[in-house]
Amino acid sequence: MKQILKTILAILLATNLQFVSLHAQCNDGPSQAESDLWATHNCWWDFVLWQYQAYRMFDSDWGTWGFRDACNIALPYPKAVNASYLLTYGLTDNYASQWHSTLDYRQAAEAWSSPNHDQIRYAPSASRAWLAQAAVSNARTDMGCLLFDQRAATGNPATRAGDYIHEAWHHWQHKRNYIASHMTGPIDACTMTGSSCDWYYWHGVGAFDFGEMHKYTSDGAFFHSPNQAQVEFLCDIAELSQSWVPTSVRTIARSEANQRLNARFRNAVGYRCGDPRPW
Amino acid sequence: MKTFQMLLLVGLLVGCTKKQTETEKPPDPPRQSTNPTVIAKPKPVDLTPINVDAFIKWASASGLDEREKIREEIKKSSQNSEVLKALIDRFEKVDTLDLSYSLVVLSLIGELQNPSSQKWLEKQINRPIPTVKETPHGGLNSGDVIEMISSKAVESLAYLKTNESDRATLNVIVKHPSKAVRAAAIDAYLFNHGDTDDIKAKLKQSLRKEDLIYLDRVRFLREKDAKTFNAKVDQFYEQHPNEKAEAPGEGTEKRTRPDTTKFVKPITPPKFERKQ
Repeated sequence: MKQILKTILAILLATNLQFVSLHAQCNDGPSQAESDLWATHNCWWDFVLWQYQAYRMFDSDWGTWGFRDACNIALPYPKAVNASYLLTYGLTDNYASQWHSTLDYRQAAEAWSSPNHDQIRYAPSASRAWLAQAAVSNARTDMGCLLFDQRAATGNPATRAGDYIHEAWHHWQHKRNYIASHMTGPIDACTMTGSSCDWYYWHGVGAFDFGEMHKYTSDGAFFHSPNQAQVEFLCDIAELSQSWVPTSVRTIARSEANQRLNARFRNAVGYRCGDPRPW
Repeated sequence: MKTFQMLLLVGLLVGCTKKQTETEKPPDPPRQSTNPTVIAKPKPVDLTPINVDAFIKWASASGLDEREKIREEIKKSSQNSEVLKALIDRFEKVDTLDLSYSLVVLSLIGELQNPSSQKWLEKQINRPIPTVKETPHGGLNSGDVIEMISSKAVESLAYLKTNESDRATLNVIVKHPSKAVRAAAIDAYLFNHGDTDDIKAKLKQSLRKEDLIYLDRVRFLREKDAKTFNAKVDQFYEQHPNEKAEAPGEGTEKRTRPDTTKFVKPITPPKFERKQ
């Protein structure tokens, strides 16, 4: 009898542990910016049906991460959709003023094989050791809990969309035979400790025609590092987004862009994003 | 031997066909939620102590098309100490637990331009910055988060535009331990004094040597002339040639994986429709 009870207990424990591992990966719930952006589309289903194909986010990876409850903004997969929505529709595509076009950012972030990178896929991860990482040899971008946790500073759609670009640029590096990583800091103007520093390859607004962000020259006159591509996107969102993009999203995009401009580059960057008027 | 070769060929063919079928099979789509999250866009309200939560919600969700309307509402309550108190209370309740919320509230506090906020803003600016050993790849560490709050707070301090706030902002510019916060303070000080050459010359005397470079930075703005912006940043790199990035050269890393994927024509996303 004792043995039977022990077995039942063991099964219950195992089931429970499995339950925990399947359903409690990240801290659920939306941040303010998440909810504000969500309210602009409220889970537009046609978009969701496009997004999972464009980003190659499949049930096999995302099944227990909100893929089967895809309009529940508390969960990771719907949050990933929210960030894709911002990236796909959030910019004005002002040819005269934007760093790069929606098409450029989409080509980078979406999983299709493009001039930016080979075909990739996105997978979720319970890791908090990194925000996300481009597993270049597996043609995959892993998205960690820090991108989804309600209480993480990075658990918002602007940061998540910016990170699509950052990781995509590691895949770009891999496609072009560059080392898909960062320099170890602190080094020169980069104040970060660990593998977080990049060069900022200055180019003017309009230097890259729309649709040509992937192009490069080996002298660095036309070149992007992952942090640089990310900052240019965040700065475009902060300053050149559509009039409906929520203030909370633009504010955190500007704040993060400036933080990265100050701390992530080995060389000082000649501009700041936005003006300092509080509202 | 021939039979073996035939079998191998058949096996390979079957394998290839199977693989092709696998890749061609449309993947299962996501499933709709039983109770989908529906969030209504908040409606405009006055900024009063009672309405403060509703106002934050409206302001946070508002787009650029409502910016002036919100500025007007904030101006009406500019010197209302109860409104200031309520906003500070909301900030402190959330603080770093939701940075996207806190930065919005901090922006509202700054836009109030109420001199009574100065002491509290200084407290936010002078928060100790945690020492961080390593930042998660691509992420923001706890030091970044405090610096982002402090930077926003110093922008609000400089925007008070009083003699006292000017002195306090200069103090941040000179003494703050964080480069990011000092850079934000310099930018805000210049902005609130009209970005004139005179103010730059005055500020130059107080700056640390390593911060002089921030006097020459340009702002990337929505309403800008790209030609002028480019020329000014070009000038920045002419004045500071050591800040040009090193040439990356040709990529020499061996790819760990050959590019075998075919270029597929992407499916176009659905045509944008504004929902709310």
